[in-house]
Amino acid sequence: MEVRVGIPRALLYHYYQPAWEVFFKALGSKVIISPETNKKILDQGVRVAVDDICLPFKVYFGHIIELRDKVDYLFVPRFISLGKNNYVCPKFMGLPDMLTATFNELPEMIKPVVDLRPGLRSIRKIAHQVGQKLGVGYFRIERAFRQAVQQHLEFSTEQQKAFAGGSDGSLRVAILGHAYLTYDKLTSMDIAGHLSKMGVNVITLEMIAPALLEKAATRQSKKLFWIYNRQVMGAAYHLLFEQEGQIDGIIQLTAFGCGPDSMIKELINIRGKKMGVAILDINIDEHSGQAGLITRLEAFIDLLERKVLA
Amino acid sequence: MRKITFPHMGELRIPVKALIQELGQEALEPPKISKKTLDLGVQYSPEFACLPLKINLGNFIEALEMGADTIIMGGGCGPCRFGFYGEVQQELLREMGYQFEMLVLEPDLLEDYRRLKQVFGRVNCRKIARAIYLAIKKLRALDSIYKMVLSGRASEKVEGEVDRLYDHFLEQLDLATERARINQLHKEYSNLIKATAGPLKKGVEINIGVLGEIYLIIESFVNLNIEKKLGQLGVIVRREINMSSWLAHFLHLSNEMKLIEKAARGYLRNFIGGHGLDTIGNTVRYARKGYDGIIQVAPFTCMPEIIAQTILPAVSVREGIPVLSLIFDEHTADAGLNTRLEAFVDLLTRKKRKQLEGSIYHEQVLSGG
Repeated sequence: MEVRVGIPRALLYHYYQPAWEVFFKALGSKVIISPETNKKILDQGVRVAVDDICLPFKVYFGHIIELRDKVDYLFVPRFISLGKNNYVCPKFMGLPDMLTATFNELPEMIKPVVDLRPGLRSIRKIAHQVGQKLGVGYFRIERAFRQAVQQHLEFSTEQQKAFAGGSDGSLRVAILGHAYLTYDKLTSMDIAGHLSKMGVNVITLEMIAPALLEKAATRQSKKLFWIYNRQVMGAAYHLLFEQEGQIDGIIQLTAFGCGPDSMIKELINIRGKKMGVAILDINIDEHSGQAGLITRLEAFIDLLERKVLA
Repeated sequence: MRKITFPHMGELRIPVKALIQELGQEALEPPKISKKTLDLGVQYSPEFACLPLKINLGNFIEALEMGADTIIMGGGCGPCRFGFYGEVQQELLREMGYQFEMLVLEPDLLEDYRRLKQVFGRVNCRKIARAIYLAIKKLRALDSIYKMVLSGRASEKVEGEVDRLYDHFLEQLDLATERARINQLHKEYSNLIKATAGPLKKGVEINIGVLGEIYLIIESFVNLNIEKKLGQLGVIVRREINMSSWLAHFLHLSNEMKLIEKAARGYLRNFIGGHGLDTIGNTVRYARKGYDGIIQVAPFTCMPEIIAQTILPAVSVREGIPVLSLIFDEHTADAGLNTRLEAFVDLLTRKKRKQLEGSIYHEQVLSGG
């Protein structure tokens, strides 16, 4: 019988989704991904999580509830670091432990430790650990791993190609935030969709090459140690300084209670002011409503249009 | 001469001042943390930053207004937000138009030494050694006496006597410049505090372990004097997180962390920044030591403590120890806190009495009485 592996459509899924799916499929398991976040998932997540945790984690808990009866394994990697001198947000480090403490009964978790401080090559070892846990042979894991890496590279080039041209004279607005907010239609209230409908070219940080992000982030005198936030910061600095004048506005999309974002948001705002680029701060929690958001978006776009005409 | 300032954190001002003065510079102590400090900090900090950042910023603003030109601040390399405090505060203060130099001490001793040399100029090695020795001496005397205060409050004969003695001790310690004097003060006041001991206010011994984020634990302004309140309720407060233990850990002089990791293993498997792992590990250890309850204190949105808070209910059930999580922000007020503390202490007292009665009954049965 095929083993069913469940992947919650939340948090880091939005960074690595095609690769994870391809990997488990190539290992011969059936991959079950929870549906797109809906009101029910959000509500059940909010109910079990502690009050103070940030929204994306509440959503993640909701997805776990959605999946737990339908799968044999849950894929909950424990991310710690993606390289030398960096970390992810500590909540990722304690994620499997938080699940164990919160839920009485869960399917067995596949929880590899993703700590790439020794070097990028350790991913391969992690892939083999996961494969062995599912009882798959060496060569099959190796093949699956290669396919997954290939898939991830393709996925990220694909995203970079989507970089909006702006030659048609329409506004270019960047949405900067974690992928698990930007690409989750419910929690982000589909800001990207609304902007497109208004005829705005939307740029996200995934459309900028990682090397450029890293380079722009070095403008900060102290190296930021949260890697995903360094990408956000790098994107902001890249658009503000390297591509000066080519961007009309920035929307900072953050979740209520996000620790790292609360720090860098201010740094980006200070620089936005200096460079004369308008920045709209949108902070989302489980009580945010669409109506208020759309009004704010429209007002922001109006302002940008007037600025361009002037 | 430079005017060097630093953030407040409990009574840390005493050793830090000694250090700066011994090195031949002027220490400018920021005004005691007050409502004004908090308001200034909140006004100029990022809205969702954690509380310690805001209070630090308030300290700096007040000190800069008094003429400070150099700030000493701690740093770090993550994943807790504290490691990035200095960077953000520096930019915010410059945005506000202040001129100053900021020295951020990172966990890299050689680099720190180089930077300290820039601030303090050439100082001979013996003088440095003496300064550090004196500061550490004061720190240890401070923590040692305070430990007695924590348990002494539960059994003082005259209400408030222990705190009065402690205040005197702080005054004297701040003035001391010789290590013999520090030793003498330590001896004198530990005897004085011992002498205040009478019967336990509650009639039974209630031990509560205070755990959580270090700044919130140590700084009584932000935790609304929680330890004093517990003491007045007749509770013996057990708290191992203090500046001395932090320093020992920072310099890798203690094996405490190994014990904590081992105790936490069944619940949390790796370091999560700040004191998150300590909170879980120590809850387990305190439960096994037979303490009656745990209080976790943390600032609102503190990342490591949120993880701990999520896991603590499971620890509480499996280890059989009541846990109260208290989250503080700039809006936390006295009245609400008092009610919760009283209720928690009542609950523990009743439980303890029941246990004790049970055991007496048990002995009677065994002895046939």
